[in-house]
Amino acid sequence: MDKAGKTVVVTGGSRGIGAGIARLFGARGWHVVLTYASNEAAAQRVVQEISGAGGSASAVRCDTRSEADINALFAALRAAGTVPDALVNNAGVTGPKTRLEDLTLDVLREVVDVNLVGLLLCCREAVKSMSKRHGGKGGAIVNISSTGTKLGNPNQWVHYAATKGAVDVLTNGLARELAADGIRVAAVAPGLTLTDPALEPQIMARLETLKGEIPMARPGTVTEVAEGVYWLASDCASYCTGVVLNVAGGR
Amino acid sequence: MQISLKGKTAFICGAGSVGPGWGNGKATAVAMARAGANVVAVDINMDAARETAALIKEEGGDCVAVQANATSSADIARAVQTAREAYGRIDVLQNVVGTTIMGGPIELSEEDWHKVLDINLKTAFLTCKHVLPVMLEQGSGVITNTSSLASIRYVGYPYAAYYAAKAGVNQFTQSIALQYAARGIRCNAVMPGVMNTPLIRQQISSQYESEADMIRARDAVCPMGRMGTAWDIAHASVFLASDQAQYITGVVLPVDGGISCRCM
Repeated sequence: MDKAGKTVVVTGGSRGIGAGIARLFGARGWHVVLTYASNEAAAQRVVQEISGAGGSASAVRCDTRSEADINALFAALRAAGTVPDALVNNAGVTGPKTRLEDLTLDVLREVVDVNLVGLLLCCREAVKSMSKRHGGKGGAIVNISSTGTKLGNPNQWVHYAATKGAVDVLTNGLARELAADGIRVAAVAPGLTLTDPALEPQIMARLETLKGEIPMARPGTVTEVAEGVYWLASDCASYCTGVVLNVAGGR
Repeated sequence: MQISLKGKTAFICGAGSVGPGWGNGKATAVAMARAGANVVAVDINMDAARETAALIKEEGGDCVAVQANATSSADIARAVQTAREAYGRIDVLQNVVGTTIMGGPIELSEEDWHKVLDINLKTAFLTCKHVLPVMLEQGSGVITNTSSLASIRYVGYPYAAYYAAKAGVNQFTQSIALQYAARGIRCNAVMPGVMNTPLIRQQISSQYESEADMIRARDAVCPMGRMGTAWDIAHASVFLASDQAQYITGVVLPVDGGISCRCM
């Protein structure tokens, strides 16, 4: 249903779920602008995979803790005459596993800065280009949430879950704020996901500890999460906004 | 990208439209056929089922029309048998049958209360009763029920039985999803918001001065400035039925232009 020639910006696109999202959009004919915070080599590998498969992609360094980086990313797109059709706010960090007593201010700040502040700033800058209010053609924003918004991730990542709860709330609020401007806003909430083949042993070990909590009794794949993101960004979902779609095997 | 349902058989319960234009069942049947599925178009009104089947065949698709009253276990058992004879399997069960009757507890007769519960909720129970064994035998299948914004919100119309029935659909959906998650069967619901389908002209327009008033008022209340269409529901249903959604189960997916986000 989607015409070729669309552009998607995927933050945190150098690895894991972000790389999977970038690859899927690339394979479906979208030009992919993926960002990375520090691992340029990994980002370039994703770009090469996409172009090797006949797609089109570029990588831009953007530390989403930095307003200057985010402003520069979208200013460069504007300067090149590129107006994103979709923004996928995937960049996110959990910080180390910790109970509250041992949570340091530095970890808390970083998690909030990336998962909430940086995400909202990316929305702000993208909307300036995409919104029909500002002469844009509209489009979609898809945020990556987490099943942690319901589970709270006690003893591990309460701070992370809290920022993802904020993502759900801003998804709702921006959906309503931007509906008349032609921008849909939605989220995908992955559950336990096989983000990186190298992490498979740890993830399968975690599956053991979660036995019974995941109805499908397996972790999700990066592609399964990416398919949810892709569908929400596509014209097939043109009446879906404010939605948080769980891709979590029933969890 | 066109999502593919090639080689799958979709059993659409409520595949006819109650009036001219596109209802959720008719659009979903046609959309699934366009995605490559063989369609079993089940409706209480054989002419409506035949109309949907004819549309699909005109486009080169494959469809059988079946008359069945979805509140009758015997009728559904027979329709499932027909589907198996025609296509050998059922990969997708789409429950679209539903109705509204206006009235709160004082106004609504006990008979109408049962009618609304039966048509919206018992129908999903009966189709699951007869289709789940087929899906278990196959080791795979997807069930998508039709919920409503009315399952989670008071939407302004006094139809108490409909609110209760659709809330029941949500929890029924989750119970099926969780009971069968490890056995290859997914179950979700689509949640339409304020819709522009033939049904509203029959069942909702009594709440307004005129049909034009109804359309204006219902469009105006939607954040996107328009009601949802049957195609919005159909596209979401195709996605949920597809392998692209194979890790998605137990969700109630709003397809409502954002209206469920609103509290005022």
